Amino acid sequence: MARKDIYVSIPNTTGIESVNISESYGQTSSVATVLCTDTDLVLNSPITINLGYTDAHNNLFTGRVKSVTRARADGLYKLQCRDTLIDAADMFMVSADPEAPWGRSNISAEDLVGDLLEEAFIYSYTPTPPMSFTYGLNAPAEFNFVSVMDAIGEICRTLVWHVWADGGTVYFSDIKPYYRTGADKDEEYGESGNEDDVISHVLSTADVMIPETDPPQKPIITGFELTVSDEDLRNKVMVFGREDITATASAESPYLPPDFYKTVVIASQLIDSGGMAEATANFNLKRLNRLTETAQIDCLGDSTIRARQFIQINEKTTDPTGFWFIETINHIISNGGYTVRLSVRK
Amino acid sequence: MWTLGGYRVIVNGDSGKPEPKISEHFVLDGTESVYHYFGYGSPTRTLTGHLLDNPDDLPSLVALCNTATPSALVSDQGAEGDYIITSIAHQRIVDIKRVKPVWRLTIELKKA
Repeated sequence: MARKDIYVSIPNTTGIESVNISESYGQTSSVATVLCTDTDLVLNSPITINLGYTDAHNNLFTGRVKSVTRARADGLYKLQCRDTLIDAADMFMVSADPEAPWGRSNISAEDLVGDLLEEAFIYSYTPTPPMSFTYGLNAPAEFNFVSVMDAIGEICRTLVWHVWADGGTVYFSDIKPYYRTGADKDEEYGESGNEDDVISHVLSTADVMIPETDPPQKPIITGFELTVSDEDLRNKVMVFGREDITATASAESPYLPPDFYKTVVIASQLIDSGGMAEATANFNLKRLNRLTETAQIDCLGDSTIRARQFIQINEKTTDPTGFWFIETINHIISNGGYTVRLSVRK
Repeated sequence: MWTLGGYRVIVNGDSGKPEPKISEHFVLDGTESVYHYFGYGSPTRTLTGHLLDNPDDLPSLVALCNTATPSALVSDQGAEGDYIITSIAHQRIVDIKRVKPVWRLTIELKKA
């Protein structure tokens, strides 16, 4: 028998009955829901949530309280919280003069994102771009009648890069929802010396099949479900940019009939050169021309497992191979103990 | 002599059942459980006994229960602290030797 003592710390909050923190690659900002018997936190109070076990716990959420509900008969407070990026989603960009929208010229992707974040008063920002990508070369990159987050989302969609918040800081980098080797990145970036994506965890059932792994295996899987489908597969990408700029990338898929193309269209005024349109088409084709292999994993709680990490899975019945991207993770503390539920994909 | 909230109860049974907050988990293919421990609730105890010569105290004890009023428990060993009466099951029983009603009580308490 193994015993683990649960740890939860939320300043200015007592009688914590449950915590659910949801982080997701596809979600604007992380969401935390707290049920407690008493709290001094009010709307927009800063909140941090540190949880795990008494011998190993981590700060998993930094954000603000966005709603407070108090219910009878149990008298519990329900706090709904969002991380820093909610400000970017809430800040709508509207120019007083429609002819003069917010815009930037000849600006790198990371600086453009940084300037947009400042519009939402977000200043704690750490971009780690792997390569240079310049917007507004031929015409300004302009945004109007969109939220800051939607504007940033458009940049991320063209590059297949990603923006996220952790510990109150916003990050912008090339995170793709599938595993890449250093050679894959060398090809994308046009320069050598890139490293493979890092495998953060090897999750397994109690039947440890491979005794020696790096990192060591964690026998914590309590439930597992594997699904393969072609639902999200797209083997043709058509890009439409500013004026007459277009690009197309396509490839045969071994999972579709010959000459059968499932097409996705990407249209953005940010794309103002043929080279950028081609890069956008190629980045997105590489991302989308693959089977949708997903898995739902229930595990014992582990506060070092986070969204956007890559993991390996050892489960002898379904025998999933390769490396998996954590698309969504829920850290849940309740009467049922501390558990995590992961949605992963290849 | 036992009293609860100042009312005398003839106690012939005193039991408790600690309930630490523990959840049990099973890792797939495992051969033992993993337990998550996250504290424990207030002590609870159950008293069984009778109201004999002071049956009018029953409505007072019921009132303490209905209002969840912390009530001092005194046992034959001395003061036991304040408890909330979470339930009080009462059943009138026949005792031909007595003129006043006799009540059999089962009182559930939670430490205040």
